[in-house]
Amino acid sequence: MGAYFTRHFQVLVASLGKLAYAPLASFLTILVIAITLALPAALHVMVKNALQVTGGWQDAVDFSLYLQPGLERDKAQKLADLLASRADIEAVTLIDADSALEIFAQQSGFNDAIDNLDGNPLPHTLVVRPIASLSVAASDLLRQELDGLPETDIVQLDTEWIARFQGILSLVRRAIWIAGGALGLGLLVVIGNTIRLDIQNRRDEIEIMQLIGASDPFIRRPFLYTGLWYGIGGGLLALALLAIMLGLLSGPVGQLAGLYGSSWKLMGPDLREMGLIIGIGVSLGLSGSWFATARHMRRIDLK
Amino acid sequence: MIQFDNVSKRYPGGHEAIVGLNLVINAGELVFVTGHSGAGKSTLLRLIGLIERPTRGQLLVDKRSTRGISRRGLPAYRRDIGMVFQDHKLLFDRTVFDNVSLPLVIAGWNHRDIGKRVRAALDQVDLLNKEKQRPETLSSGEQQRVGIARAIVARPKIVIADEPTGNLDPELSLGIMHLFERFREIGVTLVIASHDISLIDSLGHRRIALSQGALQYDTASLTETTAMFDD
Repeated sequence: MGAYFTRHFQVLVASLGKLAYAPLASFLTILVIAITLALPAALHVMVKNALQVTGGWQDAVDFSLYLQPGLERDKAQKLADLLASRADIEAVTLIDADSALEIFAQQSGFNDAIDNLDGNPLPHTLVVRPIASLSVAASDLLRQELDGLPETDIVQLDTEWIARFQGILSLVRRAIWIAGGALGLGLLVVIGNTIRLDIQNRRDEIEIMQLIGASDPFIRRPFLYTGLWYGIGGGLLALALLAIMLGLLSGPVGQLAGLYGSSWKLMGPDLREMGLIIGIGVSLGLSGSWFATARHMRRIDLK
Repeated sequence: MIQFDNVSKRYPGGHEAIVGLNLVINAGELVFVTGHSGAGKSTLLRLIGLIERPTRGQLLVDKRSTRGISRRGLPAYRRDIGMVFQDHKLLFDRTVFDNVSLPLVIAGWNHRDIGKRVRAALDQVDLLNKEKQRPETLSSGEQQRVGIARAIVARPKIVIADEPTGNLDPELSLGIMHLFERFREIGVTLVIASHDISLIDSLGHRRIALSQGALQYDTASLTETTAMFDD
């Protein structure tokens, strides 16, 4: 048993030595693996960050309730008080038509144009904030109820665009899985092909091994370890590439966050995700070399 | 030890290399196989090493039919047979020691025993001082001896050698043949293909001649046949 492990260890080291013997070729293979792994990983990190940002916005599911034009301010205030007393509503803020126009004039810079208006075209508006624990379904019901009020003209859910954005994100997420799958398949081909060339170069060696009674696992072992090293190297290099990408983005992201008065920072992959990236690299390396050796040993087979 | 029962071997191209061969080689025998090139010498050896399979008939080795040996069982079967090749078939990226130790490494021997065995084998072929060299630095005769050391290091019951003296001068050839005679003395069964008839005859072992895949004559049965005619 000791000899068995010693032998494994020897092959492990020897296969690493073989890679070092042709550093450029080995590096190119590892680089291809790294880029293939880094692309879906980078997309995943982007989506993760985007979800993190928009996740904070989810709480702010305010409804803007635009009331019928011409509705008196008293009635609007009464409605506001009525709604505020509901159990599923946390707060209601009345923005009356006059102050709305004032805010609009201030923010838009259309002062002169607004001065020329005959009257105030804006309606009174209620900003309704439901309680935070409200479910999506309940929130939808509330929205319908608000829409059905005789005083209501239009109900607008301020978070609609967030929902859409999250819809897009989940689409992107699905796309990453698909792209990742395709890239993984490509990776399998790349590693398989590299090992295939390696086998062609060592054809004589395999033939001699078969002649003097080496079993298939014995012959396969060095090639599997080569695949293992490719996988580990590719996974680590992919993490390095990812770190470089995040490093390049973190400056602008910090500035942007600063503009919004936020100290939000880009998140990199966590430990579990790093392990996953290396794990995927290793399993692709191993399976790629397994397929290549199985195919080629049968071809060389001397029977 | 080795028994051919009406064995034929036809290659995919249609070439009939061995035709209806009946032959018994006993344990501990040293048998030379002669014949022109293309007579089937190599095929006969390849059949014993299960590098080829008979297309007809049956081959028994050690009283066991080789027909039942599957692809999975092949490595274990080959570990009991030492093979010497005309082109040596050495691994040029490894030292002499590593080449010779390969059969033991494959069989899973531990490090210390491997060292002892390999040095004993190298001592027998007189190459003990070259163990750290690579095969390409050796002469053809030395490379052949490395191949022989590799074939005998795991102490197989059978050794087959295809033209082991093919490229060697007469003196070296004789040395290698004497080496094979020594293995025979310790009970190894040897089947050696060679076209060097004068050398073989000078040694006086059993000789089988093949012609177009069939047995032309066998010095062992020749005396039997003569005896029959004498009756």
